[in-house]
Amino acid sequence: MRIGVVFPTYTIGNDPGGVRDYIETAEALGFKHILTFDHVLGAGLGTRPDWAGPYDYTNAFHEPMVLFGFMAALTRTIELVTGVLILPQRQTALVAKQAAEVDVLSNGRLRLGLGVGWNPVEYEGLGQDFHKRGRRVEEQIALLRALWADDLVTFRGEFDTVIDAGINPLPVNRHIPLWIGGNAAAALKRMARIADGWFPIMTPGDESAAIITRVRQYLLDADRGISDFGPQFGMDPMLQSGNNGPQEWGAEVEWWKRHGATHLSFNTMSLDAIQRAARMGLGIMVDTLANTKNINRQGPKEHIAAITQFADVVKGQL
Amino acid sequence: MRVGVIFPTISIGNDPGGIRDYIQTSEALGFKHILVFDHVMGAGTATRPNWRGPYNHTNGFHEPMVLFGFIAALTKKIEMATGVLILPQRQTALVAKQAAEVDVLSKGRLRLGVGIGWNDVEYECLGEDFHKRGRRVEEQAALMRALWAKELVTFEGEFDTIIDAGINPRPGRKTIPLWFGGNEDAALRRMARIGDGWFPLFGMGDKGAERIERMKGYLRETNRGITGYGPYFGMDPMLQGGDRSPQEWAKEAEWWKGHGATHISLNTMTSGRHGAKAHIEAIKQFADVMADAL
Repeated sequence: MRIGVVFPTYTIGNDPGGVRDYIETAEALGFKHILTFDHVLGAGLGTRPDWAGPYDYTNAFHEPMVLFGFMAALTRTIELVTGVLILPQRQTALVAKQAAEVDVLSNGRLRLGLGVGWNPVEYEGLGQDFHKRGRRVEEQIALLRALWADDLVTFRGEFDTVIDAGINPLPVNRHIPLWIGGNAAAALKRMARIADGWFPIMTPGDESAAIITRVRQYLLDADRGISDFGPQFGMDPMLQSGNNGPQEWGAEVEWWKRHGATHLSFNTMSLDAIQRAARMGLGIMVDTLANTKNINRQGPKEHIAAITQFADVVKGQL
Repeated sequence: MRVGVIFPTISIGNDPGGIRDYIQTSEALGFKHILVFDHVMGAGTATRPNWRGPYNHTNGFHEPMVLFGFIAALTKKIEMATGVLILPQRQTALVAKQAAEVDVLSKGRLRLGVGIGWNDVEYECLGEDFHKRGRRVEEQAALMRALWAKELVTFEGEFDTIIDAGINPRPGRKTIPLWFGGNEDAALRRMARIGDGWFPLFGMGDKGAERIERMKGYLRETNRGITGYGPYFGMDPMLQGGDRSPQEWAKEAEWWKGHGATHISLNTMTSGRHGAKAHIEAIKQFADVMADAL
């Protein structure tokens, strides 16, 4: 199992020296990947008294594509992962272009996690249709893969039209792994048909185990010759650190390993957002966190201390 | 006059080690900025036998926003400039967001040059209207400046709608210098009204001198209190290296200085140079002849 960390995007702060320290420490500790969230716009609350979204305009999100350019220059081996980039609110061809650039500058270290998001405010601000995002994402994935594989592409879709044109440079391997986040049944079936891996958003438990079993079935149903999680189809769950001590972290890592995880990402940010997201009904299951005390780590030092402690717990596996 | 270089995007190749060497050498030589071109898509020419655009799908263009993240990590003081980013084919809020991220990670070293481009193939692929690009760029400039300045923005324009939302993080200085490329009268008048500077796209000579004067006239007409090139409105011409000697480069740089340029950028492309080493060699020669200015 490849173990990595979640970049603490909204509590690391804006000092590039601190961001650099975190990135270089993550690689030096032996973590295999850094996973980054994505939000382009934050909603104001003054005009939205009933706002229930997990984030608002006060939460800072470092922009993943620019940040990955920065990370590519500072690291040699660590994998760069979006988890997830909200694809349908962005222009497909520009995502293809920027992802290819990250891949070139990092010598093929990009894994692109995609999702459809939950925030109509961002879609409006970016001029895209929130209500068609599920349908759009599937078309976008096909176009992304074509743009990465071929010098020239002709594609006439419902949402995008490319006539005999292409990006240059192409990714190192003319391919970038595309993973999908989410637990909703529609997303899981889509993912089993077309993705290279899955980011479950849940904590260990029977209900989660049942969903994992279901995803195995969807994989079989998809008839891709994939019967389980592995090199052809990965699973990268997020371990919410909270204030759980090293022992509980270790036990959770073991649970995920037993249930087929090929990767795991350690999140040192506050539990508030994930719990709000769960309450919103986004299919996120974090019941086991109900009794976990929150820690709101601030600044690079506190996050570095947490991943250093975690590295000790999993040191045989890094 | 601040002397910089143009990142040789179409002939430096795809080796990150070579790109790193070029960037670090530019800063070590004392150049004040690295300027980067922008094209998202290249057109195939087989289906377009009459294609006359300067570029096609065989030209590699490193994507400026990602590349600037890379440059920010490798440098301490050199300025990063797009020259130019084709703004109306991109989503305004995402450009504002990515530019802010570059500015944060580089501690305020971004200068965003924008233009409207010439390639309708790219606009089509990106789902934007090629024919409205002139009008759109002006609205986009206003929206980006609002997003950089304020935590929350409400903006209902012809092309973009944002209701009580904002980007975070924002640039430390709450703004990013916005420069414009172009030589057409409409572009010159627009940048005189709303730009922080200009990238002229011509070489030295009487025709160029005439246009430099015309631009000054447009600046005066706008009543911004700007009468010439300087800290409030810069001019950053492109010095075409070609196969001329470094002494000729220096001579043209002197001409531009005499005509008010606040910046100048050496272009080492389109002269048979391939790979990082050849371009590094050229900018070293340039540094030699411009030693007094660096």
